[in-house]
Amino acid sequence: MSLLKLDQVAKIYPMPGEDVHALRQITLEIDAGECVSIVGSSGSGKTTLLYLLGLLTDPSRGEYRFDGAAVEDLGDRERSALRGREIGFVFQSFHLLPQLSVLDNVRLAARYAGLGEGVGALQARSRKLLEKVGLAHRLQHRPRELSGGEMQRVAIARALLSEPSVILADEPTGNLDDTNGDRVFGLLQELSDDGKTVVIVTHDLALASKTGRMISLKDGEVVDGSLTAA
Amino acid sequence: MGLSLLREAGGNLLLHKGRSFLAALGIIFGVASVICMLSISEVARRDVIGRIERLGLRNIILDSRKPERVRNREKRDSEKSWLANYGLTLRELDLVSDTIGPQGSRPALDALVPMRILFHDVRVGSVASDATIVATTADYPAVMNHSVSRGRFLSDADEAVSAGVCALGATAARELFPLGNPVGQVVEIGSVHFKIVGVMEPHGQTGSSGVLSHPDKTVWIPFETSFVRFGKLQVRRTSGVQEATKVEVNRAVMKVADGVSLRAVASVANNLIDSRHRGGDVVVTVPHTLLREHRKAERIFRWVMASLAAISLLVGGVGIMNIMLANMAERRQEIGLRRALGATRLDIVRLFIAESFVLCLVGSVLGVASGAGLAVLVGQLAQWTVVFEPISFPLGIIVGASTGLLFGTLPAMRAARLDPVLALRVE
Ligand SMILES: Nc1ncnc2c1ncn2[C@@H]1O[C@H](COP(=O)(O)OP(=O)(O)O)[C@@H](O)[C@H]1O
Ligand SMILES: [Mg+2]
Repeated sequence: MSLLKLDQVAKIYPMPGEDVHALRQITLEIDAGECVSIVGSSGSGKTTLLYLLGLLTDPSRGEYRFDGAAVEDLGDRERSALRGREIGFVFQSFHLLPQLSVLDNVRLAARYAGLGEGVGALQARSRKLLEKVGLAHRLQHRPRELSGGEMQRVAIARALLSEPSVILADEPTGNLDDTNGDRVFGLLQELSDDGKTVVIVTHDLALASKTGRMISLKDGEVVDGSLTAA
Repeated sequence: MGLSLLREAGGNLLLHKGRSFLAALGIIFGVASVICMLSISEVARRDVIGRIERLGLRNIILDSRKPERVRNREKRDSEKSWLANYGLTLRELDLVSDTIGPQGSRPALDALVPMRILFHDVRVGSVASDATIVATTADYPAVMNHSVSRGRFLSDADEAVSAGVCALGATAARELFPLGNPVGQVVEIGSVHFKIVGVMEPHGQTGSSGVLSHPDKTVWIPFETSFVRFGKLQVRRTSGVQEATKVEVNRAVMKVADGVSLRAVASVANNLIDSRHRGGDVVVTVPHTLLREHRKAERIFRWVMASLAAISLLVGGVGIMNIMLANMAERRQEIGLRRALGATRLDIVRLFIAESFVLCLVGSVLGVASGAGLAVLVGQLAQWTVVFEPISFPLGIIVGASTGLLFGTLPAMRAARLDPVLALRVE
């Protein structure tokens, strides 16, 4: 059974004058362990779709099932618990808290995840994750002392702390140069090799083509179904 | 609210020390001014109450007042010499005690003490004092609850023989004899020599005004002696004008016996005085009634103080609210991120309320400390003993911290209602 399942989902932002149809009639299934990319031009609805998958916003119409559960039926508390435990976000602009150290930024992810883990164990795991993304030597640095690529790797470490089953990345390489972009993209792909479900929004077709499947959006609709890469 | 939440809130506040301090200023000032105002009003309250209480809560006081007609004449005939004759007379004192009479088998009054003010200087050699000379009887210390420090007060025997003796108030004694023991020494009053038989304990001001309200700056002589040595008529010369005053008794204090109705005695005294002194040259004062009236006025004053306190805290609270709202707008992306990391709306509400609570808690602790400091400083400058109502400290902190809870709620709710999608957007 698919982990993420959208059935005829639409997202409409009511605006004065004319409503904005950010997404129209999206039907989509993503299986556990898949690595999927979402491509499309700016304004095509990629971010909206990703946030919808990440339970940060609700469909205006249609049904979304997360791991079999109809999201509609979940309250704020249950959705938040799913976001905290099962979903890891990576954003184009990193969203690291500038006053916190690299280590504390990673540890912040435990704040709402309900991991029931001691401070020491948490610290150790945070270090290990930062080691994994190649930042073991920058633990006490502030985000502004890091390069864009390094910041995004911190964000990835943060997304992994709660050991989520799903990673949602919104243009994770959008603010990075090619070298750093490739490295970050590589890290995300590795995660799917570890069994995580990874969804990456990007408008870099070259990178997107490296994922298992590419979903192309145009004006809030999926173009010609889903392309499956070779 | 858990301790870890408070710690997290405190940590967040410390990340922006300057801004947090500015936000807390309103509360600091609010609480400080409340504490300071409470202390100062408490000092004033105790001062006023002390003065009334020292008049004697079982006493009824009859005071001779310079009547309107005399005052007008002073203004009109400021060139001439004349005689002012008013106030209580000795004969009336007997009449008063006769009219009040005994209550059943025992006397209604413990004592009736006359006082007469004499306009003379006191000196010892070249040292002069502007102490008031008051002629009175042996019952004075008992009626005014004023005790002797050294030697003794005037006695009935002194009275019987019109002795040339006197007792000194504490301040007068210090002024006239800065170093030695005054008892046994001689002072000169007018041009008459008086032997000092005793010095009184410091007593503090009694009543609100007039020369009789400063017992510490007083020299007492026997009542009878004042007539023998200085006569019934007192003559004062001011810039060539002679003003002769004939006031036999400036004040009479009656101490009502325990178990006798103060109100009943006061009403007898009032009726008698009303019928005999239509010109208003004798005034009846009942300290007990005065105290009650004062307490009533005090209640109103307390409400005024409480409203002022509420207003200053309101201002502080609105300040907190504004800064928290600005804070919230600035931390929009952080709010979005926390939501993405799994924070519920309630988590966000709690975090922001905890922040304004901690801010106000710390602010009100600082406010209490600086308010108390300010009160002590004012007390030192104004040379009074600072008193605090102990309850005002915890109260200040509780009210300050509650202000934080109250005014932190709106910003916190707004933060929680923020759509995470919008919050995470980067312009
Ligand atoms: N909160 C919102 N209110 C109104 N319109 C929105 C909102 N969020 C997105 N949109 C609109 O929805 C469309 C899709 O936006 P988005 O998902 O951000 O596109 P993409 O990420 O592909 O650039 C755009 O036209 C955008 O203006
Ligand atoms: Mg986008």
